[in-house]
Amino acid sequence: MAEEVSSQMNSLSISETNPSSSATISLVSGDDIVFKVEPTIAKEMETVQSFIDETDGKITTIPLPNISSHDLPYVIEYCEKSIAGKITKEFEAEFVKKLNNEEVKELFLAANYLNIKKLLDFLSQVIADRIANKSVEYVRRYFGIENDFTPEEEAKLREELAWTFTGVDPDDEDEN
Amino acid sequence: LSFVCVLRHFSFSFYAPIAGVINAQLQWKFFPSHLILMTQPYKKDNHGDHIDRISELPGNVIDCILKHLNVQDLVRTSIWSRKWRYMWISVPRIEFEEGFYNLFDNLDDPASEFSRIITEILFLHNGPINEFIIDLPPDSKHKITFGCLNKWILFLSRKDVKYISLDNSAKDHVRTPSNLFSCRGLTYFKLNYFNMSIPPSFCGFKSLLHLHLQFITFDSGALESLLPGCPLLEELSIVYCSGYKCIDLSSSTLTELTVSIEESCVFRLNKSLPIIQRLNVELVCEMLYPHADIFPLSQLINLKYLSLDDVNLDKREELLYIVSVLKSASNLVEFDIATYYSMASKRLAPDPSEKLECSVCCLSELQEVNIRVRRKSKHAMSLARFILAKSSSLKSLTIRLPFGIESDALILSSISRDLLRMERASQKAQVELTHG
Repeated sequence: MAEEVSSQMNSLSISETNPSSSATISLVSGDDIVFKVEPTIAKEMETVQSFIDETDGKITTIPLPNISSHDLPYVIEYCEKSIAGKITKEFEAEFVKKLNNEEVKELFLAANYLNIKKLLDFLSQVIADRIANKSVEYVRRYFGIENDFTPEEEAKLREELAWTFTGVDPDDEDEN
Repeated sequence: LSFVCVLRHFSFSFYAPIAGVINAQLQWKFFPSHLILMTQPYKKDNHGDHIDRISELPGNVIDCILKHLNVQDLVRTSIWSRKWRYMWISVPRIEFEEGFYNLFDNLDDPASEFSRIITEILFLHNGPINEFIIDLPPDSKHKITFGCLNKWILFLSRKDVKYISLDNSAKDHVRTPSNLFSCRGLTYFKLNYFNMSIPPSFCGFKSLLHLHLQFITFDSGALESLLPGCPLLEELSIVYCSGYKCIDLSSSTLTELTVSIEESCVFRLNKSLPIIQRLNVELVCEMLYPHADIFPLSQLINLKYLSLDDVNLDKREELLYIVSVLKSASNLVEFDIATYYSMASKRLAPDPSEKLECSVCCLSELQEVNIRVRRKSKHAMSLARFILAKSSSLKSLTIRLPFGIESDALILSSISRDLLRMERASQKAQVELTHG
C-alpha cells in the first residue's frame, strides 16, 4: 500500500526542491495536504482556472475542501495524461481497475466539482457500467439511496415495469 | 460561478485553512512525500458511510450517467426512490438496442409489446431527445411496422432530434417513415434495410453532416433528390443499396465517402471528387478494374486515406489497377486493403517475374499501410514489395494473416524472410507480420 501511494506521489509534478516556485499552483485537499501542480494541470480544472483568472493569477493556492488527498492524485493523474494527449482505452482500463466503487463515486463528484468535462464523461460511463443490469437493491446500496416508497407503491411500480427486470443480475453479497 | 464563491469564501474569510496550507508546505521541505501521506490519516468524510450525494447532483450531471444506460436499466431507475421516479425522463439519448427486444422473446407477439413500450417511453419523456437509436436484431420475429415508426418519428421531430439511427435488421424492408423528412435539425442519420422514397414536401436536411445508408432500395430518383438537400454533408456511406444510377456530389462539401461496388448495380459518381479525403470502397463484385471509370484516376489527388475491402488479388490486372490507383493518389497517407475470401490461389510468395515499375518513390506521402490477407492471395506480396520500394515516408506496413491458414511455421518464416529481403525506400519503415 505504501509503495502504491509513493508511486502515485512521484507521478505528480511536485517540486520539493523549489516549493515556493511561483509558476506552480498549490491545490489543497480537504484534509489539508498540498499538491503542487503545473498551471497547465490547473487549466484542465475549470473551477480552479476560473478562480485563478478571477484573481488575475495573484492567488496560486487553491483550497478544495470537497476533495480528499486520497482522491486528488487520481484527478491530477488523469489531467496529466489528458494534457499529454495520452488518454487511451488502455490507460482508462488500467485507471479504472485501481478504483473501487466508492472511489469511482468520489472521483465523479470531484470531477463535477472541479468541472473537468473529460473526466466526468469517462466516469459517467464507468458508473453506468457498474450499475448496468444490477438490481434495484444493489444500486440503492451503491449510491446510498434511501427507499422512500411505501411497500405498496413499490410493488405497484415493479408490476408496471416488470419488463425491466428480465435478466437482471442476481445480487452478490460481496460485490460492494 | 457558485464554485468560485465557495473558494473565495475559504481563502479570504477564514485563515484557518490557509494556516493549514502553510503547515503542510513546511512539511514538504523536510519529509519525502510518501511519509507525509502516511503520517496524515485520510479524512474519511463521506467515505464508506454511503451518504447519498449522487442523488443531490443537478439533473444534467445525473443525465451524464443515465445516458450510458440501456433502456431497461434506465427505466428501472424510477424504482430507486421518489427522487429518482421521474429523473430518467429528461435523458437526451434513448437507445433501443438488441438486448431490449430480446426481453420479450417469450411472448407470443413480442413485436406488439415492445412497440407499445417504445411508444409509452416516448410519451413519458419530457424534454429534448437529441439521439434516438433503434437497432433490431437480425431476426424476423422482431418486426417494426411503418405505422409505429412513423408515429415515433413524428414525436421525435418535435423533440429537437439531431441524431437518428434506424437499423431494421430484419432484412424485411419497411418503407422509410415519411416523418423523417420533417426532422430538419438532423446532423446524423443512419438507415439500414428500408425502401426509400422522398415526399414532395421535403425541404432538405440543412444541418446534416453524416448520412449512412445501407441496404436501401431507392425509388426512382430518391437518392438524386435526397443528396442536393444536404448541403453541409461531410460523411456519406451508400453501401449495398440499389435503385440509383449516379451519386451526385457536385455541390457537396463531402470529405469522406464509403461506397460498395456491385456487379449488377453500377453507378457513376459525377465527374469530380473535389475534396474527398477519405474513400472506403467495399467490393461486392469480382474485380474492381472493370469499374475503373467510377473513380477517374485524375480525381484521386486529394485522397489522404483509402480503404479497399474484399479485393481479389489473384488476378494480375487487379494488382496493376490498384498500383495505378496508388500512383494517382499521390497525396495518400494511409492505405488499408483486405483481400477477398478466395479459395483459388495457392501461393503467397511474390512472383519474381512481376515488375511493378514507376518513377522512384512515387508514393512519397504514404505513411501507414495495412494489408489484410484473408486467404492465400497470389499478388499480396507483390503489392507489399511495391509499396515498400516506393514509399519514402513509410512508417509502418502491417501484413495480417488469417488464423489457421498460414500458421505453419515454415510458411511464416519464409514470408518474413521475403519481407526482410525487400528493398525499402524508407529507412524508418516498420514491417510487421501478424496473425488474426
